[in-house]
Amino acid sequence: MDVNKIFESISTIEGIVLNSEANVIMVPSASLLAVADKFKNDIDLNFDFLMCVTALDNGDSENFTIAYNFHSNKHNHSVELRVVVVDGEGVPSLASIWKTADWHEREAYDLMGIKFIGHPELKRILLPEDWEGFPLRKNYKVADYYHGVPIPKDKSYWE
Amino acid sequence: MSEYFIEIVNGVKTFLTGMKMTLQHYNNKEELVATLQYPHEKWPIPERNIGFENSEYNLIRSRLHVDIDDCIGCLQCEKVCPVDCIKIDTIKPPKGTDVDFGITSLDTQKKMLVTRFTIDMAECMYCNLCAYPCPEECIYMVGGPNEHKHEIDYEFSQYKRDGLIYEFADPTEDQLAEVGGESYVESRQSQKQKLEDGSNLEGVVEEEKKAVVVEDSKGSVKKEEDTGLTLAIFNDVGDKPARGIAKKAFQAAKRANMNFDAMADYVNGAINDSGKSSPEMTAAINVIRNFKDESVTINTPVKVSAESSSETPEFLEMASTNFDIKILNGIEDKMSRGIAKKAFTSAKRENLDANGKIDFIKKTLNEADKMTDEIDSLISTFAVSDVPPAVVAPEKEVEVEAEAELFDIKLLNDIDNKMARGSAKKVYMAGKRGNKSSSIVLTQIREVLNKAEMMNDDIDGLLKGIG
Amino acid sequence: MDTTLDKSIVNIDEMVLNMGPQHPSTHGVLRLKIHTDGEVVSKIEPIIGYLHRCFEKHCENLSYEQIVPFTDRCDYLASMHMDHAYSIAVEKLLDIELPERVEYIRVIIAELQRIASHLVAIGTFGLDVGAITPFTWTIRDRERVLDLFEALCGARLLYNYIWPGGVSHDLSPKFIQRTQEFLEYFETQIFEYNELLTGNKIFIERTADVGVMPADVAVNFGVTGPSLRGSGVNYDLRKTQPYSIYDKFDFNVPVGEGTMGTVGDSWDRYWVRMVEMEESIKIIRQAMASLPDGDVHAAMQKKIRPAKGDVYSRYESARGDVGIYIQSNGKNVPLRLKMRSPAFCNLSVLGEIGEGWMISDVITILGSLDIVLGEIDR
Repeated sequence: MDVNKIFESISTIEGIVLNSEANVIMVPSASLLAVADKFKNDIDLNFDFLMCVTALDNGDSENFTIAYNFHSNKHNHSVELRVVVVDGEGVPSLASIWKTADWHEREAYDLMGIKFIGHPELKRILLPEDWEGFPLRKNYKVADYYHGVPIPKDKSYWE
Repeated sequence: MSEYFIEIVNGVKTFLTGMKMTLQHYNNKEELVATLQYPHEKWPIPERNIGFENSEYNLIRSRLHVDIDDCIGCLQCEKVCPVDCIKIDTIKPPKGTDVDFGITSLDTQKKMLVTRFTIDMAECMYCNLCAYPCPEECIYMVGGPNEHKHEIDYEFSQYKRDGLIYEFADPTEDQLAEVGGESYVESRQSQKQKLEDGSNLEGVVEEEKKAVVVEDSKGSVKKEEDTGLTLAIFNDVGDKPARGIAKKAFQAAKRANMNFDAMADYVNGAINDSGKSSPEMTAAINVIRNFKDESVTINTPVKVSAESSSETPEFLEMASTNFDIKILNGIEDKMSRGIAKKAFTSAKRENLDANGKIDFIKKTLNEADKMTDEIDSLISTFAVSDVPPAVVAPEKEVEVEAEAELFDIKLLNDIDNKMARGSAKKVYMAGKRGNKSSSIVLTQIREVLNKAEMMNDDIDGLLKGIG
Repeated sequence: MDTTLDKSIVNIDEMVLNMGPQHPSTHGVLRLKIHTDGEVVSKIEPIIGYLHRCFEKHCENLSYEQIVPFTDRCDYLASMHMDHAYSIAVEKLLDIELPERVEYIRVIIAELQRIASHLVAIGTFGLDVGAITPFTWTIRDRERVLDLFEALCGARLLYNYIWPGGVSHDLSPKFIQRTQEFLEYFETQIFEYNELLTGNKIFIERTADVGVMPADVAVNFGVTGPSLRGSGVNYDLRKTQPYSIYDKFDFNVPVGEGTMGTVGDSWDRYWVRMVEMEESIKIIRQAMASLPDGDVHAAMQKKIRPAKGDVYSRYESARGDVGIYIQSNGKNVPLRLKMRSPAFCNLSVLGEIGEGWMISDVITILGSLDIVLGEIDR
């Protein structure tokens, strides 16, 4: 099933738009859970795998895009959903539907600072818990010190 | 019962066998010893017996090597390195000159001088990405298929981390002089100095970093960096160009270690020369003039003792630093310029002052029959002629004396009285640590000995003899 | 006097045990916070990030060519797979066609790498459950593959060999001959492993019926690769969504059948890897038989500058489904690069399937998942 057919089968849900140029379906964060429910339970769609959750900075560290890549092993088709979110506003968590989302959303929170509403345990996963800032944001500035240890930014110390 | 004794006998026997073994090794150290005193002794590298023949390899990732004679300074490898472990500096000769740098083994004309080509092997991640874009095939990993170019390097262990920074470029002084690279060499050296001082080091507590106030016999206050005055004092001046001139002059004065009065005079002079004086500027200069550094007042005794000396040496130093190799670029004739520059560099190596340099350059030019009136006048303008030579000479001596090595401590051994000898040596060591000159140390020794009532004619004569 | 404690207030039965980050059985710097009741595990909390090297942040500052050495360092046991996955993503973004020879070389290399990676997985799995000899045997044979790779590109572990648009060098002289020699030798070795480990009674006791991962749990957690196939799910990208030229080869996808116990137990995951190595040999044989001539650098671009756009590409590595998401803004540096690391998802299932087993079984389960921390933490 290609992206157009997938879009048709969920087109009753409010606010979703097909971006035919990039072959992705844009979903407002309010309808994300409805789409996810359909994806998981509709027999024709049956997306059993949530492959990847990618958080993207739209350039200004104010707006973010979250890309969800789904795959169905049964029907052997894939699709990408995108949700645009403003900094500080949350996105509904998919961790209760696909357990893959649990760690992936934690990673997105850790590195990009996106809040997932309804996530069972939203805390840092790769970085230390007391790390400040979200490194993958475009406006991230490396701190001078971490626990009193200087963070080197270039080699001018010794060269 | 007998078992018990047999076991004891066995224990002793085996113990002795073991000791015998140890002794054997001790006696035949040369043959049997297994520990080599690495890195002073090394095992020979065994023949490669795993893997394949050298010819079966596309590449072996070993140490990076550069055939610097083939390098044209295109910076391709520096750009492609993902971890920035390659650093290259090049100097292009000034326009109009035609310096020949030779051709590479692939018949490419080299157009610039590679003055620095460092590879930090501690940082290198052996991805070999630098080797692919090189147009002259001069950077490569040694060994394997490149064995004929450079033999394989198995170990490059070093005691210090900077030992792993390999320098491949080796420009001669002549080449540097030809392309006018004098200022480059200076900047490299100052950077090296900074590295040794650790002035760029982060994580050092701020007080440690602060420059130490150094007193010398002339009494002027020498400080390495921080006089407490900053360029910020000129920020009130509205006129931008004037501000620039003032800041430049201020920095130059600071570098020359002037005291505050002289600094103010110097800045004032620079402003007046450019005709940009303004009320704000005068106020800023007055700030400099009236500036009192607390560290200066603490050390008043020494300062008073040497108050008589003038500020002239500072200006002398200024003039000598002003005489730069760039000035020689004003010489039009190519040949004479080259000769002059060469003379300048060798004079600099001899640590001659400005006048000495000028004399040397003149002498060399005369020998080569290249002396013209223009060159003479060009160089001579920088001679420090406005100071009477009579003043220069004693000042120079003072300078020499201050920097000369302290007399040998063994000379004090001739003092007979043990106590007196000990006190004298103590004073000597303190003086040595403080970089005091011989005369000051001798005076201090006298003072101490007088106080302790240990002074006698013998010691007095001895100290006089040393002085 | 009543000496019994109110268990609802104080949980005296539970003990929290920290396994790692420095522990031989955690396969790297992984810390497991294990809540135990006696010797039975009631909860496992994997704590990761000790090997985080900011791979994705690095990629935002490196040109497409320069990223390859960094993808090498993600999964250091299957570097070729990471390079291949990344290269396929960039090629998809560039929309270029590769010379046939490059595709064949890549398949041969990738399958050799799969053998090398599975050898480590099997060896260390044996080590985890107490069989030390097989480890030395598998490492010995892996060395032979590494020798082949060294002849190919000069490095034994971090190759930087497969590039976007091609490979760095053509096959080294005698490579085909040496590979054939290796395959002949290796086939007999697989029999020996089976005699030594697969059929060993102690090994079966330790692994069969232990850490059963039902198919629906595995799919829900996004487990992929041999670990998923051990649960009986026939999911292999090389078959279902063939990339490169895998559709040209004839091979089977082994799945767990519960030969020694239940479907999806640790033994099944081990067995899938064992059979996959035989399938890899098949693929290499076929690829070498029909290896075409040609220039391996033909499709290589001097400067990689993809058009604006996003791409998500998938790849079946030794550990599972590698996903590379690249967002390009038309410059020679990616705007964002995200790697879906298979072992990251595979590890997340440990908390679910490890519950209720003994501590020694947790080590078995962890070993059977075959994680590489370099790839999890990136």
